[in-house]
Amino acid sequence: MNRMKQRDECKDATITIRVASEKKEKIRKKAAKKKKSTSEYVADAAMAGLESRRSKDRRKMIQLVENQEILNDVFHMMMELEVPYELQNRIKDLAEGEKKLWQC
Amino acid sequence: MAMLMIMRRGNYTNEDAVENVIRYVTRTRKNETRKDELITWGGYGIGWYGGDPELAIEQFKYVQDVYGINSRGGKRIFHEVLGIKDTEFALMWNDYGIVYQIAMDCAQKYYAMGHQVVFAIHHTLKDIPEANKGLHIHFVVNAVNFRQGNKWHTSIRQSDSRQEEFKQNMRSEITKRVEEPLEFLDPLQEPLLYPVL
Repeated sequence: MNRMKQRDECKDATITIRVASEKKEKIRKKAAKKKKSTSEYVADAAMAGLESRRSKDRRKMIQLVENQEILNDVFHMMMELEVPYELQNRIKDLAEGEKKLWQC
Repeated sequence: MAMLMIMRRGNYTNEDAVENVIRYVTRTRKNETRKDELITWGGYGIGWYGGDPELAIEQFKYVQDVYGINSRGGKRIFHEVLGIKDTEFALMWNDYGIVYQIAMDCAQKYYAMGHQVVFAIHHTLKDIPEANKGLHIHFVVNAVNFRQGNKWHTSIRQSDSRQEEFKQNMRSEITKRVEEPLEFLDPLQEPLLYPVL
C-alpha cells in the first residue's frame, strides 16, 4: 500500500503552460496564500476542476435517465389515449432531441 | 412455479458485453435467425419506443462511462431470466399482455434500486439446444447504478427474495384480471352470477 502511494506521488512527468506575466503573478500569489508551490496549486486546481465537472456530469446524467422515464410514461399514455396527431409529432420531436443528448 | 435464473454463461466484463447481450435478448443481432421467438421488449431508464435497441445500448454505456467503467473493470451487465411454465401461461389466459405487465412490474424493481434495465419476452416453441425453453422473460440490468455509481451485487438470498417478489407480481396481475370485471357487476342486475342461497 505504501509503495503504491509513493508511485502515485512520484513526479516523473512535466506539463508546461504559457501564460501572461500578470496571470503568472496572480497564480503565484494565490498559491502563496494557500501555502503551496505554484506547481502544486495549478495541479490541485486542475484536478478539483475535473472532479467538479465529473460531479456535474453525474447530476446531468441522473436527470437524463429520469427524463427518459418521464418520456417512457408519455409514450405509454399515447398508446392508451387518443392523442391529436400534431401532439404525437411534437412528442416524437422531443424524443429525438433527447436522444441526441445521449450521444457519448 | 416460475423460476428466476441468473445467467452466468458469460462473464460480461468485455467492452461489447452491453451491445451483445441487449441485441441477443431483443433479437437484433446481425444475421438474426431467432427473431420469431421475440414477443416484445421494453425497459426502465432506457428509451424503448424507437423499436430498435440502439438508444438503450447507448444509454447503458453512457452511464457506465460517467462512472469510469473502463478504469474500474468488472461486470458491465447482470442477466437474469424468469421462466414461466405452460400451465402458468394458461392461467394467464395465454395473454402476452399480462406477461408484458408482469415484465414491467419486475423490471421496475431493478430501476427502483437505481439500475437501468432492458427486458424481453421470448416464447421458444422450437426445440433448440442451449436455449431457454418455453415462455420466459430476460432482464438485462446495467451493473452500474446510475444514481450512486456503485456496482450491482446480489446474494443467493436476495436472488431468492427477488424470485418470490416476481412470483407475487405474477399472482397480482392474474388476480387483477379476475377482480376488475367483478367490481362493475351489480348483483341486482346479474342475478345468475350471484345465486340466492
